Formats: sequence, structure tokens, C-alpha cells
Amino acid sequence: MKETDFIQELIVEIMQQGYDRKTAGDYAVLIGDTPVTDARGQVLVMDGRRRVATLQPLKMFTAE
Amino acid sequence: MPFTEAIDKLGSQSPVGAALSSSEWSDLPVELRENAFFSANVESLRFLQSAQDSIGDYLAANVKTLADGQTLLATGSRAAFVDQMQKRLAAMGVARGDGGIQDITSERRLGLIFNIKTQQAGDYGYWRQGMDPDVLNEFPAQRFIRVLDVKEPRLSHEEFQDQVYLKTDPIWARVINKDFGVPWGPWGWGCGHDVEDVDRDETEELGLLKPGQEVLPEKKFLNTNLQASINGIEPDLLDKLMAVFGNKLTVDKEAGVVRWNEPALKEALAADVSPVRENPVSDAIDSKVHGNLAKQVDAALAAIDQVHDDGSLPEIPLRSTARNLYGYFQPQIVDDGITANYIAIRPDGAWPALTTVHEVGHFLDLEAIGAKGGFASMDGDPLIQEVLAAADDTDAIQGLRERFARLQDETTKYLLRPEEIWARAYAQFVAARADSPVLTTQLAAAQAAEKFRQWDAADFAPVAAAIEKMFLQLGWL
Repeated sequence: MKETDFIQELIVEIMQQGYDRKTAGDYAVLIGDTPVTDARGQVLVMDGRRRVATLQPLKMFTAE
Repeated sequence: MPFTEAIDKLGSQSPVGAALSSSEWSDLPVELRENAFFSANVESLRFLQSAQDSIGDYLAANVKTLADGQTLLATGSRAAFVDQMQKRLAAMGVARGDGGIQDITSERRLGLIFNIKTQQAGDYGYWRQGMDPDVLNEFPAQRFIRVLDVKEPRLSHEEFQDQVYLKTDPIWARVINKDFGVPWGPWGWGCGHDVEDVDRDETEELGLLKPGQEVLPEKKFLNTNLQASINGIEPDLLDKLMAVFGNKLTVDKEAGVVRWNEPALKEALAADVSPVRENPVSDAIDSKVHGNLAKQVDAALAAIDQVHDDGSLPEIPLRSTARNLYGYFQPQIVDDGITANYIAIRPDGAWPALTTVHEVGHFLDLEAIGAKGGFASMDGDPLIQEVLAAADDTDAIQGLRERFARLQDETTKYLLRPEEIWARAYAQFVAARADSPVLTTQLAAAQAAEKFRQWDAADFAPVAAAIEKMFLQLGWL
């Protein structure tokens, strides 16, 4: 597993929420390894302080 | 309300480090021990200074102010002291030991230090208050009483239990408190005894004083600047002390005394290069991980603490993740912007310690650099922009830009995000500056794993200089 492989896996997971490949790719880049969440655990796609989209919780970001 | 006499007592002691056992320390004249803040087999003056400061905060009920304006006790409890000292020791690169009483990082040992030092300072305070002439003549004696059951009661104390002696009777220091040699508690290692005041009427009834007889305070220990008589020290012991402490002890043959050389002690403390941070990053990370990952995280935090301070960060947990990424920093949205939530690290990632530093870089970007509520690297904060500008000129970032121009791929685009460039640069800065074999190895692995992910040393030099400049401006170095 390469460190940056997670970006491609993240794109796949976002696409499973109904987004096309291009949009999911853009969102994955913006989310990166700093996934902003809200109180309900939804992932907010942020560009700086601007909210771009709201995604359902992503399995990629699950801690124990 | 702070106990002034107890605080004064602690403040009168200078940190003195030496590889002496408890037994060897007890061979020192009590006058020297009473003016020293020491712990058996501890040589680090910086550690002793930290412990003394932390206990001083506890006794004085000092408070600290957090970034959000909240105030809380700087050292509110024994547990807080143990936690602070464990983090300090980790920052100094002291590895966790077996958890036993000899292990300076153990809860048992640090708890014992806290118990003994606070009790010594507090009991000295009570003793000193009892030496006030008015108090002394109102309550001239004290009774030796058991207040705690102990596993192995010492026989030498049993004969004194419930006995009453004048407070000024030498029996307290010379016979009852043989372990510490002072007329106040604790009355010995693991002792469950204390004293209670006895008033004048009962003292006179017991025949310890004649009616109206005045008692004069014991002056020896009222003086906080103590010196021991050379006549009371065996020549062999004096030679040994001089061999151990050197110029930190002054032998005044003319006056016939030996005492600590305060300027030499201060000079030794200043020369101790182990860094101690006022607000170390490690204070803000509540590690919830175990096993090897805990060691990796400890190593990462110790390295960060070696390199810089952080101002003041909110405390967040660090957890483990089994997902397919080496680590992430989870912020959360709140009314007034974005705040830190937690860090997660994958235990079997290729470089968990370096990843920890990388995610801490994101944490600093959000909470410690620039305006609150957003990442400084994306807000255009001028300080961090200088770092990003320096990075932009490097071969590594230019290489990534060329690759992205050619491939238009998300992975390279992600690596070119300003917050990501910052976190990688920060991780390399810490790895290069800290004396951390773990990070050195892991940085080399990351450099070898993927071209342009990290920088080679020469390429990174201007970025390191920019980070150093920023940290200086932030007051972190």
C-alpha cells in the first residue's frame, strides 16, 4: 500500500454516494487527510473556509 | 488559599541532581538535604526544575489560561503532576521503563515524588506556623498519632505512638524522624503517623512545662539558608560529597561549614541543555493508543517538543485507525469556524512517527498559526505564506507541478495543496532538527518511497529557514 493510494480509494467511496468521477476526484483532493465533519458525522468538503458540498459519513475516516 | 510557608519551603530548595541512592542521600547532612530539591538517582536538573515548578504550581494553586480564555489549575492534582512529568520526560527522550519504583517515568515513582514533596512542604509549613512564639506558647507540645494504617508498621515508631513531647524537643528530628532528620513530617518512608497539637494546660499537666514557663522557638530550621558544620561530617563522607558535587558545594574551612554554592547550582541548571517547553505540543495530545503505536507517537511528540513550543493548543485525542491511509487529522465545523477534533494514525503504516508529526502539522496549521477558525495555509496567513513560497521554489515542488501538468492526477494535485505542502515540510523540519533516530529513519524511508514527496536536505534548506523564521516570530523557539 502506497501512502497516497488512499486518494483513489476515497474517490471510489465518494462515487458510491452518487457523484461522478470528476466531482469525486475534486472532492477527494479537497478532503485529503483533513476531513472536516459536522455534528452528525457528515463530511464537509471545504475549500478554505468555503463549504463546497456535504457528504454522508465516509468509512475511510473511522478511528478506534 | 495558598499555604505560604509551604511554598516558601519549596522555593528555598535548589534542584540538585546526582546519581545517589536514597540511602546515599540520607548520609548527607540534613542542612544540605533541606536546601536541595532532589530525587534518588536523578541527575537531570531540568527534570528536577520541572518537578519543582509543577509542585509549586500545585501548592500555590496557580492557574493557566487556555487559548479560548478559560482558566484552570496549572497542576490541580497528583494525577496532573504525574501526567505532566511523564510528558516532560518523554520530551527529554527518556524512554518508559518497567513501571517500578526505580523507573522515573512510572506513575508509582512520580506519585511518590509528589506525595513526599507536597507532604514535606506542607508539614514544614505547619511546623513553622507552630514555631510562632504566640502559637508555640499556646500549643507548646504535640502528640504522635497514627492517621493511616500501613502494611508494615515500623516498630521504632510504635513506642512513640500517642506520646507527647514539646515541639522543640530534639527527639522529633533525631529519634522519631530518622529517615529525614527534621522535626516535621513525613515521619519516615511509608509512615502512617502525624502529629496533633497539645495545648498548654495539658502540656503542664503532663509535666513537660512548669506553669507559665516560656518556650523558645527552635531556630535552626527557621533559617532557610542552611549550612552544615564540617565537624559533624566524617572526612570520608566530605571527600565523597566533594567528588560527587564538585564546585556545587562550598567548604568554608574558616567558618567550619559546608553549604550549597548557589551560583554554581544556577550555572549547572542553565547549562543543562535538555529543553523544557512552557507549552509543549505533547501537552495537547491525549494519546489513546497502545503497544508499538504508542511508542511511535511518544517518539514523535518527544521530537516535536525538542524542536519547538506551540503557544497554547486545545487538547485533542490521538486514536488508532485501521483504514487504508497512514493517518488523518479530523477537524469539525462549529459555529465560529473549524476546530480540531482528533488525530488518527494507522499502526502498521510505513512511518507512523513521521505521520504523527505530519498530522500535528495540520493541527498547528488550524489551531496555532494565523486566525482561529480556519487553516492558516489556506487563509493566506502571511507567516505561513513565506514558508509555502520557499517551498514553491524547491525542486521537489517544481517536480510535483511538472508531474501534475503531465498527468492531471488527483494524487499529485492533493500533494500540491498548501496545507499538505505545509504538513510535509513541518514533518521534515522536525525530523531534521530533533535528535530522533526513529524520525531520521522514517524520513529517509518517505524520501525513498516516492519522488518529490519529501525534499532532499539541500533542497529543503530554504524551507527550513522559513519555518525557523516563522517559529521565531511566533515565539516557539
